[in-house]
Amino acid sequence: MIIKTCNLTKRVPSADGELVILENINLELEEGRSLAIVGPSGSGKSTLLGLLAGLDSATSGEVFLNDHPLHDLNEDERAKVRKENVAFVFQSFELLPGLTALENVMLPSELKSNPEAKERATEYLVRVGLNNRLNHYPRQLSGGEQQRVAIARAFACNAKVLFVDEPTGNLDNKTGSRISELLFEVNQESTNALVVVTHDVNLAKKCDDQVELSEGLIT
Amino acid sequence: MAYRLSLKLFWRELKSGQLIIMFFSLVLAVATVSSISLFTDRLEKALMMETQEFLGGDLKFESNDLIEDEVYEKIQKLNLKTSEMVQFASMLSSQGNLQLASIKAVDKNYPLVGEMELQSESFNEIVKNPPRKGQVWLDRRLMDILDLQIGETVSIGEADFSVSHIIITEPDRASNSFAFAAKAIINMEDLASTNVIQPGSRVRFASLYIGEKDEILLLKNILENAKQPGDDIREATDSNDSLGKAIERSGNFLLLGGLLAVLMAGFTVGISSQKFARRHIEYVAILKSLGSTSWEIRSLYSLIFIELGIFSIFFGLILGWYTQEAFTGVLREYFPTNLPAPGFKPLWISSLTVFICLIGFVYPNLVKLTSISPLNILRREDPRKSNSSYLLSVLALSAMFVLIFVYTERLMLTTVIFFSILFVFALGFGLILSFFRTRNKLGLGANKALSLAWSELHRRKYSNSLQVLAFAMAIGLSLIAFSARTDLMSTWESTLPPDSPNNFLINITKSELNSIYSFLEENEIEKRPFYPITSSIIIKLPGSALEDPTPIDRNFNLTWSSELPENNKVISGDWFKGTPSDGLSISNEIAQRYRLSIGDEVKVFFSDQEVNTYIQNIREVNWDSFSPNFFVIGPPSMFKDSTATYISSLYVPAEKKKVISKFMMEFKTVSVLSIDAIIDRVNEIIEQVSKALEIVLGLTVFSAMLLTLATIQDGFNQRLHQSAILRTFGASTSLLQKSTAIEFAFLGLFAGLLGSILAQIGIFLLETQVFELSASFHGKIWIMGPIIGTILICTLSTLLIFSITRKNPKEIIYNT
Repeated sequence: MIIKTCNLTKRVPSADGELVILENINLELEEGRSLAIVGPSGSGKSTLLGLLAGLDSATSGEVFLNDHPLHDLNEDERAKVRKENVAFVFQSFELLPGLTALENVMLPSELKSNPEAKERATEYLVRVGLNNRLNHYPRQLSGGEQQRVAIARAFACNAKVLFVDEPTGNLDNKTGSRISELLFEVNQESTNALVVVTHDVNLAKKCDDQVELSEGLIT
Repeated sequence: MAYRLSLKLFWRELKSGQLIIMFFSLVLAVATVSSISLFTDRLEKALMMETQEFLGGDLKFESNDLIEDEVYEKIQKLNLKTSEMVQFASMLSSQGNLQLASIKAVDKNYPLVGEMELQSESFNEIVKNPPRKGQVWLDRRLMDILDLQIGETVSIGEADFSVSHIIITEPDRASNSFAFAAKAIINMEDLASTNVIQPGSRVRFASLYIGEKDEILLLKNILENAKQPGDDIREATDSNDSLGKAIERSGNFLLLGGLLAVLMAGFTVGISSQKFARRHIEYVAILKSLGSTSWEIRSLYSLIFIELGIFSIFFGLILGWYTQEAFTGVLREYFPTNLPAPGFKPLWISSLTVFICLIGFVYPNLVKLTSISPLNILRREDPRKSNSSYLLSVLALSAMFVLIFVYTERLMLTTVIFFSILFVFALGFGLILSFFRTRNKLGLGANKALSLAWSELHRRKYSNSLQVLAFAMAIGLSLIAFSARTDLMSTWESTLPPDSPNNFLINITKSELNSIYSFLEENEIEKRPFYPITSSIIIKLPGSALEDPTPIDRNFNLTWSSELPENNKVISGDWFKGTPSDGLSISNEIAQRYRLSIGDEVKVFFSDQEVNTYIQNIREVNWDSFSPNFFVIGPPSMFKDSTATYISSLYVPAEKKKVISKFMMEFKTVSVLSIDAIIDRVNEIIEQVSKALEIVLGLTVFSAMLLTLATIQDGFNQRLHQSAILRTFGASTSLLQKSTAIEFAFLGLFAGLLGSILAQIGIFLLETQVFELSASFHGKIWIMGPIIGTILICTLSTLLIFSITRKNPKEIIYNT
């Protein structure tokens, strides 16, 4: 199993006492498979993605990522696990404005001290159709192009699991469909597991498995 | 409506901490400025009161003749209080003892300002009235010389007087022809009965006036027009004594500190308001899309900043008041009277400072904020550089210039300081950009702390340049303030050598000279030059036949000497050669005031003689030295037949204080004026003022810290976002912490070096242009600058990066 959770629970303090975001989440994902997490706004999808990727820590329960017990690790230990195992695509792209498209894609490989960072980044930018945009800064790219850069960045670092949060949320329908097609196309060429948080029913249907969240529970 | 909304927004922003750095900066600026101006204002007023008391009024007019009726009538029309007195020299006799003394006959309004301190038989008393008819007040010396007791009789001319009191202090003790002679004061109504004043008698008629400034100015005009050769007009505002100069210089030191704090507050406010404006872009876009006009929004934000200004002035003035209380508390004991209440100057100068800062550094950001198109913002497009960017630069530079001018009140100095700051800015900007001009290595270099830091330094070279300049400014200004406290102050203190003369000997006759020389030799007191003095009138002769001779409107106590006195420097012409062709030597003040230059022909009247001569050289005189100084010096050959008394100064060490009493007993007619008390007072005031400067330095350093904090905070969001992305992809916190520390250590080192350059240039200008000291190299600055820069900036950045890495990267990404 690349991902496994056991009674994963997340609560946060609020003015009205403790607020339950997720409760007793149990799920498993095998290597190379894709999982869609769907549900209405506020159901806890992004929180679950954060916990699975080691970006956040759970209140209780267990979560294993490539056999690493994330629930037992501190922030720096989780960062090390993330560096070796995961990649991300966010709704708002999250590119660094001071870096060119090529440099943004190189970034995760640089963190791994990969000497072939530039070659891999160039390869994936060409793969997503941005061969003529390598030295452009994010502000010089359209929303769709920025998301392509984000996808290239996610695949270029050769992660074991790719976490994708609402990849089409900031794009129009046409661009959104192209981006989701591209995402699955590139993913099929790799052996990555894919976890997608989405509202988009068509995108969810493309995944091997689906879980629906409602008020913090899997329904 | 806008007012209510603005107040609500102001409170919200203040509570959320977004306005807090601006608020503290302005409060500090107001506190610094108001405390300094309150302090100097009260000190100057106290000094003015003392000077007024020393002169005996706001203006004193002295003449050899009574004021003409026509002039007298004009003066009567002014709203002034007047006191008349007649001064002359006459013999006093008692029981066969005779002594020449200075007699002062005073009218019923005497003393016009201040009080007389008198000693009666058993106690001292303070009086505010003249002697009664038939009574005389004598000074202690006269009592001793004439061997008189209180209640005994003394004759002046044909009248007998009963000695009622001994004079301890009198208000109008400013120097005049008779100032240091033994003194007697009688009532004006007794003057006629003495029958001393006869046609041709040497008499000085003095009138003292007090009144409002405008009235005094009118009076001065009337008297200037009516003035005859030998007449003298003195105003209390003419003070150029050592104490006055000491306070003026100290005020300069303090104002320098204030200016630095204010400039830093201006920059801090500018940087913080830029950040504030960025945060409000979306808010403005929403208001605009809901139909608010640019004018309405601009008014709303202007009101917020006016409210910020008012609050800052209010709290700043409270803090300033308590700070100046700390300054004045220690000085209170040095002034005989209570320190006067401050005027309105501190209030308006503080308010002006705040509003110049707001207009110059904040308003352009508001214009920029309100001129952005809402579509631009809602589509998250980058707004193009607008004209308001230029407005920002022009207004900020203008504000900086105006602020410097408000504090220095000197255009030349303002221009020098302004362009020095710009030069250092340009130099710093150029150095940083040229240092990082090489093309960046591809990528962020995120695998190692050093390569990440280096890449960041290259990548952020423009914003780093600004940041380095802000740091450099903060470090440089703090170093200047530090130097002002230590080096400049001690340099100035050292201009007063420890063996400065502390006693003046006045009224020495030629026949006493040899005995005095022997006395000094016996008592091992170093003999300094003895200068003959005679009263003279100088008339400038016409350069051409058409010109009338121009009398120079005053009496001079002129001396003659073949040696150039110490503390004097010939700046034009040559010193006397000891030949008959020698002319006169004048001080540069006299040369400027009466437009005299080398070679000008003059006629000198002295001791019933007149001599035609010329100006041979012009001297620069150090009036701060506690030695006899002269406006006019002549060659000995010209005055060999003149009658004269002599003046000299002595340094008597503390352990030989008794020698002075011995001297006074032996030479009863010589006046000894001890200036130990004055020197001590000047030194103590300087010491206290330097303590005040320490507080100002503290405030300045605090302002510098706020400026540094504001510049670091300015790039905070960008760094926060970058660190969240790097951590999401697995960067460790130690990598980020180390790289940030390295990056900022370099910036700090660079800023420290630039700050040292700025400080050295600034101190050089202050030493040479403001304080008239010789320039020196300040090695400490070059060591302290880089060390302080590195440590301070590194510490602040570590705090910053700790606050960033403590945050969960997921929260940062999802919430920004």
